[in-house]
This record gives sequence, structure tokens and C-alpha cells, in this order.
Amino acid sequence: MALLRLELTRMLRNTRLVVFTLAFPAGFYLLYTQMYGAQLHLGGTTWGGYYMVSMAVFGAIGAALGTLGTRLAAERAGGWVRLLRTTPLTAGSYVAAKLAAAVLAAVPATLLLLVLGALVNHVALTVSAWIELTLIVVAGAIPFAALGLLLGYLFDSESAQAGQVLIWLALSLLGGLWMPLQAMPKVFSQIALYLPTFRAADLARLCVGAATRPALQDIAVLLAYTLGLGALAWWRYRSEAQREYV
Amino acid sequence: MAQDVISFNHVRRNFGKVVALRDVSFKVARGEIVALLGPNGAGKSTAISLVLGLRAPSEGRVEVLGADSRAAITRASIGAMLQETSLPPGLKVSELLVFQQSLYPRPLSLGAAAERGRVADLLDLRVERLSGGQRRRVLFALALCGNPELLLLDEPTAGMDAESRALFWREMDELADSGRTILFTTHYLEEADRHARRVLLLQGGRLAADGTPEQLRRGTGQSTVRFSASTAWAEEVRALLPDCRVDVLGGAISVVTPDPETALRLLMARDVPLEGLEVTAGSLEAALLQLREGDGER
Ligand SMILES: Nc1ncnc2c1ncn2[C@@H]1O[C@H](COP(=O)(O)OP(=O)(O)O)[C@@H](O)[C@H]1O
Ligand SMILES: [Mg+2]
Repeated sequence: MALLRLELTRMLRNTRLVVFTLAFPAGFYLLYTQMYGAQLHLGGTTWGGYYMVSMAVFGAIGAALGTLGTRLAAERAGGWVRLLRTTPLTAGSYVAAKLAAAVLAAVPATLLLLVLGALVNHVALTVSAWIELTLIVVAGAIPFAALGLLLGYLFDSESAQAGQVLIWLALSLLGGLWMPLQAMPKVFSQIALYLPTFRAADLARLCVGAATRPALQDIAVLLAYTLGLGALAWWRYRSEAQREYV
Repeated sequence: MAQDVISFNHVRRNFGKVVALRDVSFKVARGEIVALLGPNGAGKSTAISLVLGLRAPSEGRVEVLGADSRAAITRASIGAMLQETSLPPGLKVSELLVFQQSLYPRPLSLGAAAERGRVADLLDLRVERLSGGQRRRVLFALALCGNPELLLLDEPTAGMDAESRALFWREMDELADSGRTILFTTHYLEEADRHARRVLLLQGGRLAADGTPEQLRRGTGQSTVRFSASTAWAEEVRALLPDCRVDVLGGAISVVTPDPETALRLLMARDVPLEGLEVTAGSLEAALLQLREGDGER
């Protein structure tokens, strides 16, 4: 699909996004696994495997958010969306392409972190576990694509970029992606249960044998976020359309 | 087939308490090239957005190519250039054009769109590196990509330099000759005068006049005297003809006067060079001014 290709081209040329979502997670991963030792045992696996999942999720959701939120906001403010509305492209396929691009944008960060885990820290998994892990991390970006959509319809322009980065970092910190929850005060573990960042990482940790909650519960929370955020974005889109066009 | 390409039927459009268009009715037939004129805030952009189905009329009905303007079916036959559109950064011009073509059932080839839109030299540039005038050219090329029957252009030449404007209008004249229907807005009345075969004048949301540029000009009882002279002469001309409107545009001086004979006599007596002298009945500018004053008295 042409719009999807266009979106992916733009993503790859966006150096800031590439640096944020590849270099940061990879850098943190190497730094902290060197610092504490990759073979340290944590939650049923090694620190090298545990943190590999954390940082893969961190990069993946950053890429998903970054391709959608502020960029959509800027396209709306700049009139590009309006011009597209004069073409035969439907609103549905526009949104579908945006979402697909956001989820696909999660692939490079995911793969990079898994490769680093395997090569640098010798994380050993079966082939099928590697594949499963990749798919889960990428699929875990779906609720964040929905979040990006909502932010895109909430924000008014590029100036909201900072807001989006803040949300990304805060959700990652509170969800235990930066530091394991075991190393944070207890109350954070309680909060994290309700966050999609924690749930996406927990589900993915199934593959390294370090999940702490039932997989179905993780999936249910992620699904609820996806539907809830998607519905909010739809509602914002509708109310704006009512105001603007009818 | 005498099908109307655009039809406004008692159209009203409100924005909250602001009435942007009131009781506007007109039809545009296939192959017409129509200028939509009027001061800022007259409702030109609103009218264009109604034709494009970007907005719905508050009252009345807008039809395009025989269907309600918001029906998706008309979009395959329409090309549009809107007033302010920033292009999505990170893309080359050629990539944008290829994308735009993919949206239409019967697109122009990349080469044809690039040539007609005069963007062949820009194809490899990233859109964020384009100047304002180049961006307008790209937007025009995008509007042509779908090989549209109907072109809607909201201030297409704003930000273009004189040469770009001239080339742009040459292309537009060719498109009109090939049977396309074109509706455009502009702040350059010269453009409307030369290239439109019909002018719709909006004034405070009302359709104040509808006719050929010739008819509108004649209605004013004014004439325009135009000649090439260096701009240095403009002050001299203003001093000689204090009651007339004197404009300098593209190396030419134009004087709007009810009495061209007297004006010419005065100019000749002062040896003002009158190369390329041209006297035309009325001026669109005067027509617009008269309508505006008439509106104020009402
Ligand atoms: N989205 C909008 N919300 C509120 N008022 C608007 C909106 N768009 C246009 N208007 C108002 O409608 C009138 C006509 O605007 P417009 O069609 O843009 O005029 P023009 O293009 O002739 O300059 C103006 O008074 C303008 O302020
Ligand atoms: Mg306007």
C-alpha cells in the first residue's frame, strides 16, 4: 500500500527518531548489563535476558509513538490531511496505514536489542522462542500505536513533541522498563500492574521464563488499552469532524 | 452534454455566529474557467471547501459533477490546491507525486505531471528544502496528478515570483483549452482579467456579481490606461493625475480614470513615454471598489 510505503520511508529518514529508538535502548542495554554483569540472576532468568526484553519494549513503543503522535498532529495542523481528504483516499485507509506503519516501526528496535542480547550477552533461547519474542514485542507496540493516534488527535502541533517524549519516558519508567520493579519501592509494582508498558514487557518475558503474571491477564490489559485508546481517538476524530466539516 | 460541473443552490454556511456565505447560487458548466474574487473574508475559501466536500453547507445544496459534493465518487475527478498546505517532511518530491498518482484511477504519468506542474527540476529534492514558490509548484503538480476534470485552486499563485506566475498561467490556459473546468481565487486581479472567462464576485458572503471580466469592467464607467514606463515616472504620473488611481506592476504603469482622453492629453504634454500604450474599458479593481462602497452605504 502506497501510503504505508511513504510512512516507512519517512520513518527511516527521521534521524532523531532512529537515534531515540535505536541508540538509546541499545546504549542503555550495553551500559547496564556491563555494569551489573549480564549473568546476574533475576526473576528466573539472567539480567542480560531480562533487560534485553525491557529495552526492546522501550525502543519498540518509542518508535510506534514517534511515527504517529506528533507527526499526525503536524499533518493535521499543516493542512496535509485536509488535502488528502480531497483525494479518493478514505479516512479509514489513512488511519490503517498510519497504524500499520507505527507497528512496523517497532521492528528495527526489537531486532537490534535481541541481536545484542544474543551476540553480546549470550542470551540463549530456542529458535521458536526468539521468533515468539520478536512477535510479542512488536505486537506489544499495538496499544502504543493507538496511544499515538489519540495524541495525534489531541495535540495541535509539533510543539507537543516534548509531551509525547515525556509520556514515553514516564510510562517506561513506571512500567519497570528502565529499572526492574524489584529494585523500586513497592508501590511502583502496584501501579505498574495497570500500565501497558509493564504488561507488554511481562508478556514478552514469558519467552525468557521471567513472566510474573498470567499471560491471559497481560493480553487482556493490553487489549483493553488498545480498544480504549482507539475509541478515544475515534471519538476525538468524530467530534472534530462534526465541528469542522458539518 | 451540458451537465453542470458545479452547482450552488441557495447555499448558506455559518461558522458559529459568522455567516461566511449567504444565499449563494451559481452554476459552472464544463470547460469554464472561473475566477472567484472578493476581499479577505468574503467567503472564497469557504466556497472552495464546499465544492471539495471538506465542509457541508449549513443550508442549501452543493453539487459537483451531478452528485452531492461530499460523495466520495466525485473525488476521483477533482484536483485541488488549498490555501496553506505544508508537505510532510522527509520525502522527495518524486515520492510524493508517485504516492498521489497511486490514489487515482486514471492518473497522469510521473513525467507528464512533473512537466505540466514544472517540477521536473525538483523531483529529487526533499520537500523541507523547497522555497515557498517551489512548494506552490509542487502542490500544483500534486493537483494535476489524478488527471482531474475539475481543478479547484485557492490562491494558486500566492508566493510565486513573476516568471513562475506567467508560466503557471500558460499551463492553466492549456488545461482550459483541453476542456478542463477550473475555479480559482486570486488577489491579482490582472490574472482574473486575463485568464478567467467569467468572474464571480463575493462580497461579505453574498454573490455580488457574476459575469465576464469585460462586463464587470464596463459596468464601472471607468477606463484603464496602461503603458510601459520605468517606475521612476510613477510619481510624476500621480502628480499629474491626482484624482486617478495609479498602479505600478511589472514595468507597466496603469491609470484608472473616468476620462481617458484628458488623462492621455496631460501625459503627452509632459512627455511621459507611452510605449505599449493600451486603453481598456473599466478595470476589475474599480468594479470591486465600487461594489464595496455600494455595500457600505446599504
Ligand atoms: N473554520 C472557521 N471557523 C470560524 N470562522 C471561519 C472559519 N473559516 C472561515 N471563517 C470565517 O468565514 C468568513 C469567510 O472566510 P474565508 O472563506 O476564509 O474568506 P476568504 O477566503 O474569502 O478570505 C470569514 O469571516 C472567516 O473569519
Ligand atoms: Mg481564502
